[in-house]
Amino acid sequence: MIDTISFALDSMNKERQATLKLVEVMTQEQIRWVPAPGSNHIGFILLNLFRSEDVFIHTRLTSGTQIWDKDGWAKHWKLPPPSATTGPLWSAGNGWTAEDVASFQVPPLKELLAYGQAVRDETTKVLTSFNPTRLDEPMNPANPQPIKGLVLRILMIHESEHRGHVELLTGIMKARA
Amino acid sequence: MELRTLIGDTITFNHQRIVKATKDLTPAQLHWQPTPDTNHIGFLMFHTFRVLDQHFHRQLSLQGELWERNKWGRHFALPPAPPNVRPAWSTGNSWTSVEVASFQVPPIDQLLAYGDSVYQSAMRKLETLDLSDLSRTSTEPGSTATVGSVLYRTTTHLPQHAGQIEYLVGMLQRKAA
Repeated sequence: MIDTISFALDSMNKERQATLKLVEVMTQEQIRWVPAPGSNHIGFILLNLFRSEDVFIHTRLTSGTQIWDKDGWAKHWKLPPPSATTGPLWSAGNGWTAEDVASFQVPPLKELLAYGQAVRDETTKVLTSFNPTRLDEPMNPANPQPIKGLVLRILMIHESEHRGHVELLTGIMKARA
Repeated sequence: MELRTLIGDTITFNHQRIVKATKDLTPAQLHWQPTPDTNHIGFLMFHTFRVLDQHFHRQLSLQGELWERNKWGRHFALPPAPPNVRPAWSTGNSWTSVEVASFQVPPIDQLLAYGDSVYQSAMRKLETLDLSDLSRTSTEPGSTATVGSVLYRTTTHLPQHAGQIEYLVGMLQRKAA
């Protein structure tokens, strides 16, 4: 019988492969391309995908140090300046305005993908050793909801929705080329 | 968290976000395409609902699709089917851009009514679906797909297209601003 964690991780890995197949051959210009002003580009989508996974695994499921900090990516990449109302997920791309996305200097694709892979390696380590009974524990001991299992749902959906975005953008880009 | 909960929550979350993003769209917005080769929102909704119907009522049970049982097809003017098409053609699979463009999207209320009936029925089916052996073959005659692979498709297909729908709605909103 397949367990919840294996199902989610397997799904995330298959979806990631499909996304990588599309983006690995792209140029830097293509990952910064937007179909209309104010839309998200693939570079931002990848940053959001990888950073969110890093944050969720290390702050909601466990209390480890994010790869972002541990491997020095936080100092290496230049994000837009946070606003006064910045939340804890700002560095994952959450709450960014269209201007923030447009001004974001997307790192070289190879670097971006290397960060994504480092996060996924760590996620795999964490999830494969995670006791499934702990999925029903609250993320925050002070509140019964949400439970840690929600992280799996968020990561699984996030992976697929961003694959959908990348496919959509790739299609529009080709049609307009 | 049980696997059944993860799958059910994923379906519910994505069904609700599709409804939320589209319920107020006009017929022109449902048909809008950023390029002539891009799928419009009406097609993406139709395809997403049809595939969920196919998954739960043809591949995971022998109930028969609601599309046929409840004669939903009468309310949807699909483009003429090419000769010798597979049953999945009526889900929007392998449609050409000409077929997508020519698809007469029904009024939003009707589209959502079909989506809701499929969603409700799929959730009822999921409650009793045997998840103890995901490697068993699906109920679709002649298919070699396993129950696990169908469920994997369900939980990835919905967010892929929900994400695309939201992206296109975002483009429409910025275009109108």
